Amino acid sequence: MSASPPASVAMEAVGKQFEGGPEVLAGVTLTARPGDFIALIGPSGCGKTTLLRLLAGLTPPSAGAITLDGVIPTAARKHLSFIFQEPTLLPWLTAQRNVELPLRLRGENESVRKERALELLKTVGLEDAAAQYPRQLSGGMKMRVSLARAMTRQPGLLLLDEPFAALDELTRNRLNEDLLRLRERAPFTAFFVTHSVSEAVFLSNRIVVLAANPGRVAAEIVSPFPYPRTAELRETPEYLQLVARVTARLRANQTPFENKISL
Amino acid sequence: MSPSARHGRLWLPPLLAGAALLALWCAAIAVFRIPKYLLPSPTDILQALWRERAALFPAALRTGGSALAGFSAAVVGGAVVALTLASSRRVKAALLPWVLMLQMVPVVVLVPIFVIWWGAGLPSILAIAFVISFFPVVANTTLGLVSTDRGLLELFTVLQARKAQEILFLRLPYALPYFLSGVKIAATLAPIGAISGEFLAGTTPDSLGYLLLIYRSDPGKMPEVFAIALVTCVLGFIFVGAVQWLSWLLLRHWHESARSGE
Repeated sequence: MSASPPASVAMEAVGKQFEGGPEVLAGVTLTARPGDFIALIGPSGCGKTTLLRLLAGLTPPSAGAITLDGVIPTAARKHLSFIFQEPTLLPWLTAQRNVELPLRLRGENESVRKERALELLKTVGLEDAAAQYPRQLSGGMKMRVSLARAMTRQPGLLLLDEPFAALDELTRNRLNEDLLRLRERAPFTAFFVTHSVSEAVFLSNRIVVLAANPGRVAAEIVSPFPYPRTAELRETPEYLQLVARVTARLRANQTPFENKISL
Repeated sequence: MSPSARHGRLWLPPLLAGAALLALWCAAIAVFRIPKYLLPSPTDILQALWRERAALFPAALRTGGSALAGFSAAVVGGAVVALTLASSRRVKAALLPWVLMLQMVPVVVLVPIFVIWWGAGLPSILAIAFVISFFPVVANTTLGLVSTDRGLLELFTVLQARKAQEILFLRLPYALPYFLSGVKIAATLAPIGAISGEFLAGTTPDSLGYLLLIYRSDPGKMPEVFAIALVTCVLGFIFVGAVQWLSWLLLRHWHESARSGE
């Protein structure tokens, strides 16, 4: 088993419309260079999650083309990991067994699995919880296990669908830092769906603002702070200014939508 | 509160209620002068139990054995049928209504059919114990197999799990609590099925159902009839208790149903 190098992603005029439903995404053109950390942010219903699911090949696009390192998503699954909104742990397996799952499905032998899982649990600060079952873990700990599980595949592309939305601010900040630390150890390209502007600014180097009805790219804002980033970044005026700018941009593109409702 | 005190709290209410009911029972017999052939007293029943122990004990073993055989076949057969039903949406849509319709046929109607097919005796008795406990296993297990969490299924898709892996590592464990709750229902029904079978299609006086047939024809043996009710209760408790224990053993780490007193 070898690590996948950070992937490149190309979306060309991608559209998505579910059968009989409205257009969820239209004309989305977006490319990610290897190692990019792209935050997708926008109002509810702008198709953020759908975009992520398209990248994972969980649903096919109805227009346009998507390639990951030059091949279609379903052919690139080996190189990608998906972190869902829910921790999606198997309740009947211990934390360690859950982290081992991707390797087990790939037929890796017991000792390799165990060693890798324990090492990853350690990097997310859960080495003492290896033998615990999900129901014994807090929400934040479950998400950490989910994070560790995603990393066992050493993905070239990591897709994250609002993974920390259900957590309190403090836990969320800590997991953000964990995520960046994991990225330093084994670099990957990432698409991160979130509702939190501060989270988007802290994690990503590119923030893609989406607009709704139909979902499309409204703006792209660069978050220029060099990696590795640490918790102190959140205290700097430059960081706070950028958070304010992205928030303003987000609001600007939400207003017409709200007007439409009030009519 | 200490654990022993907590245990006391758990056991005390049912014990008190039981004692109150027994007292009420005895009082009713004394006050209304209810004859023994209508309602025997608890002591009459215990005496009958002791008097007839040479007949009742082997009969209970035999009935228990028949129930166990029918129950085991129902659990295995029910699981196999559920797996078949859950294998594809089309198969399930085609077969499930008919399976459920079969469930609607009352046992009393099935008995004469079985007796005509296999004659009175053990085969018919086992068939009745089987049929009565089969459907809950099928219905619950099928439900468990088709209600696998969608998020987990997508996880397995992204992880490129093969179909066999998805079934083995996800669908089967996910359905386990459903299966076990079906098995629990089957465990309460199997002894009922066995004793009904013996009562309706029995041929030898060595089972509870057949003993019941003998006792009820003698008005003086009303305490014995009640003694059989008591023995059947115990038999049912043993069945359900065993399944409950197995279920706890398998689910204690992860499922809410195995989580009590926490």
